[in-house]
Amino acid sequence: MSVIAMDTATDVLALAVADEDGRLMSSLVEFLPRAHSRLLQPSLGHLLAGARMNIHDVKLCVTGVGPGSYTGVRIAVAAAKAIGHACAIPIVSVPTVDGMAMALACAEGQRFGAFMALIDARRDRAFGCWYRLEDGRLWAQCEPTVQALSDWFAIADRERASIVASGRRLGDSAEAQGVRVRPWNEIAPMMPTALVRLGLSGSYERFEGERVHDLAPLYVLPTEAEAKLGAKGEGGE
Amino acid sequence: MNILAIETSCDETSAAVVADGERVLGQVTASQMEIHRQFGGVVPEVASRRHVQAITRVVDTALAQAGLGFADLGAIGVTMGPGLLGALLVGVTAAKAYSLATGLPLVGVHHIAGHVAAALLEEPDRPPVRPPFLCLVASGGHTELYEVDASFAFKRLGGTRDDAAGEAYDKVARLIGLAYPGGPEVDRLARLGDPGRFSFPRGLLDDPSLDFSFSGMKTAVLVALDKLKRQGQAVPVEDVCASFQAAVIEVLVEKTRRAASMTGHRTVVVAGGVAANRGLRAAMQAMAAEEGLEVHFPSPALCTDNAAMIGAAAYLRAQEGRFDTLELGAYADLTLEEWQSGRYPMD
Ligand SMILES: [Zn+2]
Repeated sequence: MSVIAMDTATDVLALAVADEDGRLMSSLVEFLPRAHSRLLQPSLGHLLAGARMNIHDVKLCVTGVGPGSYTGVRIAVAAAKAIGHACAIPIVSVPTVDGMAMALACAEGQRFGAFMALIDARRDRAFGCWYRLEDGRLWAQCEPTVQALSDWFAIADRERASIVASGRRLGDSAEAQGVRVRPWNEIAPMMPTALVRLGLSGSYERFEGERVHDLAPLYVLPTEAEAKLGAKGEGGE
Repeated sequence: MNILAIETSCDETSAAVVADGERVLGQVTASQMEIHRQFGGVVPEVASRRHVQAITRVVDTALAQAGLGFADLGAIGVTMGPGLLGALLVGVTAAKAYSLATGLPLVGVHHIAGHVAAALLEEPDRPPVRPPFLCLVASGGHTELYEVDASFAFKRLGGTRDDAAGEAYDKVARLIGLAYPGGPEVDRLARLGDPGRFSFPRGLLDDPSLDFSFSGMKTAVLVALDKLKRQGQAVPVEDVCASFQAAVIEVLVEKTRRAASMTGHRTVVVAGGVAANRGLRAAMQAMAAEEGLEVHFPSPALCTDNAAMIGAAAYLRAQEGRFDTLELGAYADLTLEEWQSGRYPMD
């Protein structure tokens, strides 16, 4: 019996096969932008084979649901829904930023402290969330959201939070503003462990049976077309 | 062999179960037309979001309609291109995950081959067609003439040099202020108008090639509308639609007639969204009667984007033992030649 976990919302593809106690049996982290759709299913097949597991031994599927790249996040979510449907197993949805923050805590060997995960959202904004880690448990201090980088950095400064940041531009902006961030591609090797740990923590929504079809990405932002339409509807332009 | 087929190339999330490439056992299409109507056209990101929302539910419902489970299937077919990349990716990703989860082999299908394969599906009032035949594909994205041989291989005879026929319909509909998608509405209004009221150009009609050009027609409609406006006259919408439709149909029918006489094919298939156009159907039937040809149209429901047609094409490919791996990609610009050869472009 095993658990699979995956995330495709950033430039990093993270995959894990673990046992029911959350011990990794095989995992993969690829920093290969725009190749997630190619690699996800074959890699998962290889990981299962490497762990001497069959897809029918999988009893739980953990998936990162974003926020992050819109196209990217749909890859893991669509795959998880199809696997959950065909194998009739539950899916646990974990925000990608939660996984990133947990991966950062793991990488730094911390069980306590404040952590922040950011993903470039262009125009000096970032998708993100910040957390308090208490004895290894992650407590989100806000909803995953998008806001100006300067606002994120102000929170991090106030809370003395360690930051993990995905996106080169974001790293450059942080450096320019004298803010220390850990680059995501350096922390990402801990993402498979983080996803499995969070997925088995019981703190996240579980989609089971008919509800597998309801699983959706966490986009945070409406599409530009919908935002414009909404603005019109409210009398603005 | 029962094939589960998935189609998400544009704005319809569709799944179907097709037996032996000809019998539709179940089909569900979650249409996004109402959503995109608000935006006056398909918004790619909106379409992709709807696809991922609906994808597994349409599969589940199609299987339930067929009364089958995954264990009763022989393969999974999916549209791999051409189309909107983000939209295609949702279908391809789900199909590959279903393939991994069930061990069923995977078949990537070219969207246009799917439109043509719609003619191979059994329908209540019409026996399925078998290749070889001549085929006109006319849709929002394509206007192409092909020879289809006995093994369902395509040879392109000609095609549009600019706009697709369906695109011209939608653009003209927008010019006269009809709601999206305007094609069917132009068809409806055309039957109420005078096709001789305006003389719109017949693009490339006198050109010996089997190519088409529709951008000039759209421009001519714009010029005519401007003139009416300057003269302070109301737009005779029905007459504009009738005259425009007459021009488009004349070229489509004449080039098809020529292609039939050049190739010697006696069977003609008209496929794609524009094949649902009633004016085109009538004119093609009349031409076929004059020339002693047999012309086939899939039913209107199978002319628009749907997964059953993808299942029919996937079946033929599976019969040849041509399957794809879990590395299958999605391609916005995949050509029929690339699909036929199996040499997909590199990203
Ligand atoms: Zn189409």
